[in-house]
Amino acid sequence: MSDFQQTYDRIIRPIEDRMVRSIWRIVRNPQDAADVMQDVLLIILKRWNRICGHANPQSLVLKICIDVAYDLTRQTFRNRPAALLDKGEGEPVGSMRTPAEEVMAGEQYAEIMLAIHRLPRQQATSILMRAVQGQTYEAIAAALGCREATARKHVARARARLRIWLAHLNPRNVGIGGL
Amino acid sequence: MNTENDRHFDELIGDILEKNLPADVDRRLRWQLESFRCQLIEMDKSGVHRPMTLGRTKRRAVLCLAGVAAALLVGLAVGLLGSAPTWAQVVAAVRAKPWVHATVKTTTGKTAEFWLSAEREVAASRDDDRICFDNYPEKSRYTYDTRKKTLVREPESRVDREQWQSMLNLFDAVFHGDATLSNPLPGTQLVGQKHRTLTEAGRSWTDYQLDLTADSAGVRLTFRVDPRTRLPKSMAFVSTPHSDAPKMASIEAEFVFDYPEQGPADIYALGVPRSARVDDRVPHGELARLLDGINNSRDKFPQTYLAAVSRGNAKALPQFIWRKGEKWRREYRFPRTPEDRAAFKRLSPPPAGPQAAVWWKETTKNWRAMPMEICDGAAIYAQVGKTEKDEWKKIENGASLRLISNYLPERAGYPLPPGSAWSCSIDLDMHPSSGPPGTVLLTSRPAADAATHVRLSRFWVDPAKSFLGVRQEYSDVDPKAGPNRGIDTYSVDGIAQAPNGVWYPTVIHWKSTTGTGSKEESSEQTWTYSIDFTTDIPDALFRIEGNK
Repeated sequence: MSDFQQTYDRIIRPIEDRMVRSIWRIVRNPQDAADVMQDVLLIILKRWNRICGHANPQSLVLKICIDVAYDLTRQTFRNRPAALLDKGEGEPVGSMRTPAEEVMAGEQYAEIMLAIHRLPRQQATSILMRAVQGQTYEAIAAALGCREATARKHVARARARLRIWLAHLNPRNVGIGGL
Repeated sequence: MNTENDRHFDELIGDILEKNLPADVDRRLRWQLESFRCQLIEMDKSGVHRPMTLGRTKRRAVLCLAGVAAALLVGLAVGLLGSAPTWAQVVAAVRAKPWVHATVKTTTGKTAEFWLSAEREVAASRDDDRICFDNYPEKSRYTYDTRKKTLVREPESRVDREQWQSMLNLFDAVFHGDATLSNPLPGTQLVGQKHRTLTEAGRSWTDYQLDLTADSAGVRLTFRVDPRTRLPKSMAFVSTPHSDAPKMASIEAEFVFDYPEQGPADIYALGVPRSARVDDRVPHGELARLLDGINNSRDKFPQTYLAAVSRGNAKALPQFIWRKGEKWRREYRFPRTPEDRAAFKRLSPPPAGPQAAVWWKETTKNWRAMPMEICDGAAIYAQVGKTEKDEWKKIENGASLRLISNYLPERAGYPLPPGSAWSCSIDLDMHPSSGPPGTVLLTSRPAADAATHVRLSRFWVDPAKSFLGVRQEYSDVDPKAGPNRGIDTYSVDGIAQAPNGVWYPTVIHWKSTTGTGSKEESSEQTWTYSIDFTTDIPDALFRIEGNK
């Protein structure tokens, strides 16, 4: 088995599912998801040496997925905001949601992504890695190249801002700052 | 309490962002991953990319020598003159030798050796795991796995051919006295150089030192040249990771050159037992003719055009692909003003066929153009602007089309059938029982040593339409082996002819199906390609301005 193959099977194969799902959850559009994956793979190829030598290569790859998907949605929001509310091409036939639920889900998604786009980049990446990928603070820190305490701070600050901006979405809302 | 609230908040975000992953998207992305893995394997075989890592010593011969030649050229371009031999003299001396042989030893203890003959267009390499022999005139490669004791003969890959050609071009440039080289060593930049003369053990040497920088490491190459023979004796390679590349080890290697009169005539001369059975995967006869036909049509397709590529309904905003030889640009255009947006909503569908490209170009000429990627012929740049102002970042050296291959009509019409690199076998059926009339069927099946996710592929090709692929099917498993888990079908529903007679698809209908009966799920999409071959394509479209 080749070096590349072994490295792929060691690093990427175990997180393929998480890569696919995290890209999809952020971009929600089949063609965009394919474009994001293509860009992610290009970056992985370019940074192959760095990824192989990284302390936590899997979290770095997952961060790349987040970064590329985030960039694409940011551009999409800026240039064609209406597209965000689309159900997206390729919605499975026989979806269980009603049209009204689809619209509502699309609006909530758009609100969250718009709010995340307002965050500083490190905070946005951190909260997405935490909320979408369920990464540990240690893994987030390794991917960001910072200390764990700093990663915690990024996530905490992101949460604090999002709580304010998205308070109306939270059914458990007990007041700004108290969530 | 805060921890609890934090968890709930993260779950809230996660829940809202949760959305069922459609089966076809899942398959498509996994297919991209598997393709990427196969690409890595192919690169590992051919020795491209990762030029700064010597952990993998297989078949580094061509790349190494290309690096040497590139370095020599760089030196020539800036004129490292003096009492020492010039780089041009060194290159000429190397070129005059029938064979170059090198042994490589890294600090990690790995060793390898390689042979190269520019005269015979042959390269060979040997290490602990593998023995390779590339015969470029024969367009084939032999690979012997020393552990599995298997000998495979494969068709030369395009990557190999380009790499070999690139190396020959480097040599040619030297002999033609070219002063500059557009892309001396992909993935690296020359940041410094010097030379010195020294005496060691009573012998005089000239050391030429080149400092290069790559994505994650700095590299220093030091050639030691005998001023009397003008031949390099050795090359020291030191790769030092940049400070922001955590936990990467430095790599050092020593290449020692010699110049024998004779080299290996074939792979058996490198120690492969003649009793080894050859698994011959090089296409023959009608199959070879058909594959050549597909490749020729793809290569012959005009390289200057504007394509409007839409996915979805006919009114979906297209992507504009501007292509001029090796230069290309992918862009979107968006209505800039409320009036434009209102006009867009009222737009009638564009005319069918190739005229749509002109129609879209004219209709959107005052809209905001947003280029996403540009290749200026020397490198590829991606848009990273956060505002309306374009900002560019170089993402790749060279003029590859890989990034936009999904949008190119010549790639859609003349796909690369999976070949040996994917560990597939290809069969040809001249009279298939299914598919469009007048077509022949290529079926690519995973070989026994294929990766688990390689799919069965079927291509219906029309020899009377310049070998256009008119239907493609990809399925998860061979129908003979069991029930299908999913099929992706691409049917060409409209075609047109380029000015030089090569056919291309104008409409492709994609359907993806998973499951059967009541559990069947499907997605469909229509892709349209309209091409204007006559439009003026100014070079300014490919110029990168602003921050790179």
